[in-house]
Amino acid sequence: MKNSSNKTLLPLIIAATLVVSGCAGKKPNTTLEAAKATYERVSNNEIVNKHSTEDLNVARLKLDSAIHAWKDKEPKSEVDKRAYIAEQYALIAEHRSRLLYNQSTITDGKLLRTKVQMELRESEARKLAAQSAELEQKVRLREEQLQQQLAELEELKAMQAKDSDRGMVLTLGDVLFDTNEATLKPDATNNLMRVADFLRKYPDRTVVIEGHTDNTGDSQYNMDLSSRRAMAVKNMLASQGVDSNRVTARGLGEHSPVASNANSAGRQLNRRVDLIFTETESVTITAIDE
Amino acid sequence: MHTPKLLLTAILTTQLMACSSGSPPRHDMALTQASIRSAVAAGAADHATKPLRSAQHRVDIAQQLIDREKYDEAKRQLHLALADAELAEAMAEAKNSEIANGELLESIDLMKEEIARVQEQ
Repeated sequence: MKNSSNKTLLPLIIAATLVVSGCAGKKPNTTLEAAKATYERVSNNEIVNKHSTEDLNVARLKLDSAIHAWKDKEPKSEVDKRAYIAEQYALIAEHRSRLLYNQSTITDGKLLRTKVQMELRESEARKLAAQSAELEQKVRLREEQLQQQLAELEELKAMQAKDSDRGMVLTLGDVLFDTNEATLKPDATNNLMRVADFLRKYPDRTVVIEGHTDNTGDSQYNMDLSSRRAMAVKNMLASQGVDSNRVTARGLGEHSPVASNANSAGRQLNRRVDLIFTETESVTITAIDE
Repeated sequence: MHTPKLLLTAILTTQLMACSSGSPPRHDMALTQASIRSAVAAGAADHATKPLRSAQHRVDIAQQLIDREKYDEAKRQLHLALADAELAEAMAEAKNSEIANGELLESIDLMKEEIARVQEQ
């Protein structure tokens, strides 16, 4: 009885075992396999390991729970659900690591930005300082020039020079030369010494010497005489150390009268030597762009 | 004496079962919807379209299941939707931080160029 029952039970037991082991046989769940692969990939990510280990741990727990459900042979829908959630959390860990990585980069970046901002301000300040020094220099130069021009004008005025549209004109009357002569009288030399002093004092000044006559006599002769007289003045200035390059001498004869030649007073005014002090060039101040 | 006790146990058991699957998952619904709102606020509509849509779709399905009193299945969908919504928020935040980082680096580059320009002059 015992034997026979054992004999009949044995195939049953084998069959049952087969059925059970069939159920328990590790039939892979595709959602779980996908979750495992994603977790594997994310857990090997350097940035994740550096920045979001906590999130990775959460993902690991979710994955373990899915694996347990599968091992405990819970319904496929339950395994699927847990596996799906586990995969989403692995991805969350990955994105959190991006966030945390960027946040740390932003912290560094803000420090760098502050440094660079300071550098920018410093270089702008340096540039402005240089510009202002340059401008100051120009202003100082211009001021000096104006002061010198003012001093020059004062001196020219003191010598009885008159303002004209050609510059300051100093007219020396017919006291310089004897009639028909182109040799300076001794008295004239004293007069011209002041001019020589002035030109030595302001070496940038140039002067144009123009000789004039009245209309008495031959016009060509007068032209020649006025030229020689202008030249005599130039030579006198040169003898006092005034560079000839700064002095232009020319005769205009009787062609530029300042008064009528009809009477002796007018003719006397026409016999003259004009010294024209042209304006010196000045430094211009150009505006600096902001 | 035995019969009433058995009856009571039976009634209690039935009620417990009813509780576990018989009431709408209001808490899960609220939690998931809050998570979706949070993801949207983080910019998920632009930067995490796929998981956000998935979460919203699952919430819609869950609502339909609740209407048909299939509460267990609704709860399952809400759990999946919650994971989607949280992923959407994490993605959007990561994207936002990348944009902010990029803008910061760009502003630094611009300043460096400005310095070079100032020094050249």
